[in-house]
This record gives sequence, structure tokens and C-alpha cells, in this order.
Amino acid sequence: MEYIEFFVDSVIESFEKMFEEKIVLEKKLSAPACISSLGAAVVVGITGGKKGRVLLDMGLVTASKLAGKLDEELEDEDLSLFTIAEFCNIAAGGATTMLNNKYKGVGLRLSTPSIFAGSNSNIYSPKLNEVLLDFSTRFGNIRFYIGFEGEWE
Amino acid sequence: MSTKKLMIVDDSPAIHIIIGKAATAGGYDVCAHAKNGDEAVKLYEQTSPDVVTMDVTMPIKDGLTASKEILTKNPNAKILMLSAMGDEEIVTEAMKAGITHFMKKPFKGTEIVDAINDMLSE
Repeated sequence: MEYIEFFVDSVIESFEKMFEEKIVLEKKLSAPACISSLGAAVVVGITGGKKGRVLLDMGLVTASKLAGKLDEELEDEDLSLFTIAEFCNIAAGGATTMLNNKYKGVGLRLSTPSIFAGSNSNIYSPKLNEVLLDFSTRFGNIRFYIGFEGEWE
Repeated sequence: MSTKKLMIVDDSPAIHIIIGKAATAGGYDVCAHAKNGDEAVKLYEQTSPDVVTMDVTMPIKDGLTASKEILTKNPNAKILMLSAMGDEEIVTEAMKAGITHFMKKPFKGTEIVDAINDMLSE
């Protein structure tokens, strides 16, 4: 099983359990070195035996609607950003847990999420071999960009 | 029976709202909110909660370190560790720190209340 499949499984499982909504993987592609954000982005760093990064990107309206699924109070812009940051952390945590269990000793750990919001933001990641996972939901598409330094054996 | 006090420790305001609302509906008094381990240790001393929900990955001081400090001062402290990660290494590390209750994210607020009820009835 390729490492990226752990992320696909974890995103789907985490999303369905957290938001009680369907999510479908539409595309799996090599990511460009420069990413134009849809408006709300979360970055979670991966440390340990392999260095990497998980970036979640979606529109601000999508973030607000998703957060509102959990609690109306979370529809507020700031709280909705914190909510999708928690989702990114949970999805990344599920995948890294599976990787830690498969690759004994790799000891992956997550950094606390960083949140970015705003239009016309570009994010660059020249050192990482990234994969773009584009998912559809009824609230709009959400994209995960996942990359590690080097290759997985 | 007196109302039991709960302290919520998490760097995500969303988690505070989800757990806080479920706990209040479940009859708990949310006596303190901490957004990192450092605040948690200080607020634990000030408010003496009956039970703590503790995130693992937080800035300034992580949940494992904070839990060790709380358990050193009060070995009977009841801490429910919450984490997005659940691999053997992190669970073993938590158990070595003296944490006996662990729940993997994501969760529903009601699941947290059920877990806290179980902890307090032991």
C-alpha cells in the first residue's frame, strides 16, 4: 500500500465520523510547486524519521458550512478556521498513526496547525514531492496537499 | 450528589465549545479552559477539577508533559487524554506518564461525556 493511500483512508474516515457527511476522492495528482489557495488553508508539519507536510485548502464558505455542521456557534469565520484546522490535524494524525504502525521506528509526530486565510495567497513547497488529493463534498471541494522529503521505501 | 468539575485543555477553541456544551448538558461544571499545557498545570492547582480532558499536541507545553506534572502533584488526578494519533508508542508514553484513559479523535461530545462518567464511577 502506497503511503498516500493511508492519507486517503484517513481523510475519508475522519471526515465521515467528524461531520457525518459523505466525501468522495475525485482526483489524485502530482501537486504543483506553487499552490493558489481557495481562501482557507491549514498546514500541519510532520516531524520524526521523515519530514513532511500536510496542507488542507478549501473556500471560506466551505469551512464555515462544515464547522456549522458541528455546532452553529462554529460558523463564525475564526472558529470555522480553527474547526478545519482540527479536522486537518485529525486526518493527518490518523494517517501518521497508520504509517507509524506499518514502519516501526519511524516515529512520526505532528506540529500544531498553522492557519492562513485570505484571497490571492500562494504557497510554495519546492523541496517536497507532493500529491494533491481533491475531494468533493456537498459543501464544496476540499484539497489536501501531502508531501515528504525523499521517497518512502 | 455535587456537580463534578471539568477542566478542558486543548489549543483548538472548537474543541472547547464541543466538549463544553456536551459536558454542561451532561451535568458537569466546566470550571476551567486551558489552551496549552502550561496553563493547564496552573489552572489545575487553582480550580482542582474532578476530571481533565487533555489534548496531546499543543504549543508551549504538550499534554503529556502537563499530565506528568499534574500527576506528580496529585497522583489521583483523573485525566482523559485526547489525541489525533493513536499509535502504540504514544499510548505507551501516556501510560508511562500515569494516564490510564485515552480517546482517539475524532469524537462526539456525548462520547466524551460517557467516557468521563465511566472514569468517575471507577
